[in-house]
Amino acid sequence: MQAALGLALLVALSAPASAQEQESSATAEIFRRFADRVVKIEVVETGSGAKATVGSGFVATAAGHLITNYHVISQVVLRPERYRVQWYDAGGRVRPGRVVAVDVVRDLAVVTTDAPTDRFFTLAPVPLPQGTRLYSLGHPHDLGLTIVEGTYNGLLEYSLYPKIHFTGPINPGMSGGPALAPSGKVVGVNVSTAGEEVSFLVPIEPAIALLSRAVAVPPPAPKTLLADVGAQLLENQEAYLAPLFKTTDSAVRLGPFLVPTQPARFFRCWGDADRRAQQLYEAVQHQCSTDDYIFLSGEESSGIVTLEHRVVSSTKLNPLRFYALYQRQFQNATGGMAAGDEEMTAYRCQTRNVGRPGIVIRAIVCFRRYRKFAGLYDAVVKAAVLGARDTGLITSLTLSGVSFPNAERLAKSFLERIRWARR
Amino acid sequence: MILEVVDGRGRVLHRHRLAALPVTVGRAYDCDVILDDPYVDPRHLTIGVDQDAWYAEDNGSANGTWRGGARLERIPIVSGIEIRAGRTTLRFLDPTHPVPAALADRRGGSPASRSFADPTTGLLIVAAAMTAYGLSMFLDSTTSLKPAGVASSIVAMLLIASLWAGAWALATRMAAGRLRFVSHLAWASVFIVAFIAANSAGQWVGFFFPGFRGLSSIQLLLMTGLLTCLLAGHLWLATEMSSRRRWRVAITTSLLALGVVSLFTLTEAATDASDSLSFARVLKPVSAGLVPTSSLDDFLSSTERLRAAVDELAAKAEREEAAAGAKTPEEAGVGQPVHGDVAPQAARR
Repeated sequence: MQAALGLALLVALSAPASAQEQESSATAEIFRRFADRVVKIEVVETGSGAKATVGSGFVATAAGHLITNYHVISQVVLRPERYRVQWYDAGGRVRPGRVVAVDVVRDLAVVTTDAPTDRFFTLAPVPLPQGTRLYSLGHPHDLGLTIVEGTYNGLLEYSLYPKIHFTGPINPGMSGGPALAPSGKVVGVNVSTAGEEVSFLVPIEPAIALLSRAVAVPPPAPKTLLADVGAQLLENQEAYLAPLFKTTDSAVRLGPFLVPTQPARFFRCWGDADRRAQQLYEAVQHQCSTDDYIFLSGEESSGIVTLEHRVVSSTKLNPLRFYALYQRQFQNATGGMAAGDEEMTAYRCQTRNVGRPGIVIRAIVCFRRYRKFAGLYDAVVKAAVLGARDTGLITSLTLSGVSFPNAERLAKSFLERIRWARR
Repeated sequence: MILEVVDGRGRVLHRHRLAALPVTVGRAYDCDVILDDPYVDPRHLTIGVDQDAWYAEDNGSANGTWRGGARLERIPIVSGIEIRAGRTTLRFLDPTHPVPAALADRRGGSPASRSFADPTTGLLIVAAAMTAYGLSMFLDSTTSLKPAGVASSIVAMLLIASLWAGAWALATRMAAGRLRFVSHLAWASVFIVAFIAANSAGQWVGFFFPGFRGLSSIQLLLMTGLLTCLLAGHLWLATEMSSRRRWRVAITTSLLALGVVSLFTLTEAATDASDSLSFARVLKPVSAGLVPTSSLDDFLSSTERLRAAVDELAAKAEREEAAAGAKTPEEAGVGQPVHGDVAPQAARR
């Protein structure tokens, strides 16, 4: 064992020059062969001519179709009257582009150009073993075309939408650029990072599907794209909300209450307790949240579902004082999601004391609508259990980007699952 | 003829029945009517009758005798006329000048004896109110409170109430010559309790009937009513206004306050941000069986109203945007050529 380790170290130490040079020359070779198929994409504000967003993209057809992220060109989709797309070809010339198809859920977009070329990537699914070396290309911080080495680490386990876990430094500006296998095949599209070399790629399959759709139909009017985004969001929420509270019915006991948890497999849950000596009460918390969200615009995300329970109890406060505390915590409990006024209407709320067998709750439902997407709402359901003198449960369910019937159904499922474990 | 000497604030200083004519008016002690006004000459003017017609004649005074804006040597006098010598106004009234009937004195006693409570009772009222305030502070506290903490908040409240009562006492001193500080403080204390009670009552109603939408308006009106009574009471103590005038001043002031408050509320409603939730948050320790409830299904089906409301908000925003962006096609027209120009320009570089 000792010998083996020593050997490994030795190998590592003396492997040096030749192997390293070989590796870097492989990277250099990839860059030499494919750099001219990767482009810089800019979104320009029409009035001022200033660039609002810089991202990357790559050529995917002989007709010059570019693939990039939806989040790179979202402004053009949301405000076609104010923004336009331009891109830089291999010679550094600025050329106009036009968004013809988007997949908002997978964060992909196709841009057409009037620049037919023979320098393009052919897209096909590639099976990869974990640990495969990948090369990601793009324009980090608009600093010029860059190649980054990294490792393929499989698909994310808890993600609602398939995403490749890429271990390598992807930075802002590289979004929309390709990630290549050593063979030079595109395996994914750079999309996001969690920092410290933890980065994510969109697998190539949805990009292939979107591209074939874009090539098959004539380019749509700008307004149609917006409607398309709305339809995709609606369709997507139907699909991912369907299993909530249906496939699993797990409950967790918090103090004297039984509350719903982990409404579906793609939720992640945490818990914590707040007990301090000088504090006159105790609080126990439990939260669940989806990991994924759908980027809509700089100020607006969709598709986030969170559950939050907080049990507050006190043996040191009299009922009136305890309820002053309970009420304050109810007020402070989070719920409103950040959003720009340009994207969302204000909330409208309704409060009632609701009685169910064995339990009385003060229930609140709030709605606001996506201004650009009819039929899509954010909903906040909050409740506080009434009737106990020294303990209470504050709970909330937050849904973003859902249809009204789904919001109603989930509010019902959620509120129905709040129970006393004992009285 | 009666001569009224009126000071700069319109109050009658003294009255003279003009009998033995002529009557001399001035600062000198041998005048028939002596005026304490440094701007008046020692022998300023003379009042006499000439063939049944009354007149006032200036004796060549330094500052003159005036009627309205005109400086006159000789002014004919009729009942009701006002003339000015120096800074003093002289008003002439015929003895037959009518006076209003006596006011009915329902309370008896002179205004000087007005008080809300005698000092002992007043201080007891203040003490009771401060105790009530301290109790409400305690019941609203959620961290461990030391007696000193409660005491300091009571002292702060007492200080504020004293400042308020002090201001009224000063006004009383100016108008009635008395301070009546304890009365003012006791009266204000009653209203501290009344405001706390009204606020708490509003919370309880809001807790039991969260669907009651007129609650905040009713509460606002109630607060306005309380403020009116508070002001009317202070005015009664401080001034000798007629009851009608007193209520008019009190109501006008509270309506103004209500207006300012509603203005703030309206501005707040106009900046209805898209990330703030406003809902009836009150929670009260009431046994579950005593709370009037609706069923979950009724509650959820009534949320349809919210959908209609936010849909309407979105439609309204769209209409506003359409109205504001009516000129965008034109802008786009200007923008288009730039789009086409970009490539050649860059190529030249």
